Amino acid sequence: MDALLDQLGLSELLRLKPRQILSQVLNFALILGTAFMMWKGLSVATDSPSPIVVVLSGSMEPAFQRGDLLFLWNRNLGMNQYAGPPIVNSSQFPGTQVGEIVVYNIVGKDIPIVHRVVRKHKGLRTPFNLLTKGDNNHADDTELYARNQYYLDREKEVIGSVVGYIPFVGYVTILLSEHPWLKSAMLGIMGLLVILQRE
Amino acid sequence: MADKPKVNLNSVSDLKNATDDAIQPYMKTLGFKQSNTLTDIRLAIGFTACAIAAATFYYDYTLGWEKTKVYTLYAVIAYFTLNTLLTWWMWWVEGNKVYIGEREGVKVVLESHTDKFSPVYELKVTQTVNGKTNTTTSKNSFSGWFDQLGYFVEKPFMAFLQNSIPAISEPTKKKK
Repeated sequence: MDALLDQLGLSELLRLKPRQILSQVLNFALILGTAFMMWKGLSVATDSPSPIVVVLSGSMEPAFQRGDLLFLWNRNLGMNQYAGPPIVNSSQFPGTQVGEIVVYNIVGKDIPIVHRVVRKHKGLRTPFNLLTKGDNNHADDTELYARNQYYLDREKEVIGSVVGYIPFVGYVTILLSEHPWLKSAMLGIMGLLVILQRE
Repeated sequence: MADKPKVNLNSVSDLKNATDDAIQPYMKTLGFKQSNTLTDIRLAIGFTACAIAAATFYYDYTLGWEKTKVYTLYAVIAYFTLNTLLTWWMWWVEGNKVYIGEREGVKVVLESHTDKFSPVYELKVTQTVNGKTNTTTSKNSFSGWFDQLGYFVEKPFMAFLQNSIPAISEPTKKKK
């Protein structure tokens, strides 16, 4: 066992005292924790459960390609006074408009879809409704919605409007989800590096 | 495993860590009692922050975003407040302190420091006797207690500590 650890260059670990081990564990935990809490902080700021998403399909080409990273904003519900908070005209991102690109999650389906708003309805007491369509698709999205659903509920189903993007950098996550073993390999390597470093 | 740690002689931080680690056992043989309060407080702050993050993760995973939104806001604020506190604690309270110990009313605080590209170990000794504080500094090259292969040699390092810390050579009431 000792010889094995020595071979791997890990014999340093055996000399650590309990407090030092705890410190190393803490360093690692804080890196994970801080990454997670920054993500949650962004979620709180944008009011979106998932403020950054990666484009998974080519249905919005040529605007977005597979792997583009999108930044979302979800404080632009634009409800009327009966259905929810009213539009704030001075806001940089007023209520959702036709032509905007939104990301939505259909209840029961887990994959977020990025498509453009082509029609909107603002009933007096009903929720704000949207019809969407992919720029690269021939038909609108009623096919993609749940059975007998013809419109999206802005408040419940849409997780945000696209306000910014970085091309291609999200492709890593597509690779990771298509080859799950890459994930474990990456996590393992990162964990080892953090534990072995002392500075 | 090895009683004698072998260190990469080209890494100043490895040399410093190995040297720092050798202080505590030696001071223990001299009858000094180490105080771990600073480390314990750092660990407490850090793990509290981690617990908050873990709880946030758990409730977000089980209950979903909508139900936990408000609490998530508070958790995020609490987490980053604790993190700021932790950073402050590590920089301004703990700083370079590598050992705090006490023997018969004499309190010794050791702070070690190395410059980035210089193989010199600098030790700052703060000694408190009856409320009187006395600070001295001393430095020595790492080659004083690491041999050519990078093995730590105890004796010269103990001598260095004895010369640096006046409290060690002061007579004690009950000699071992």
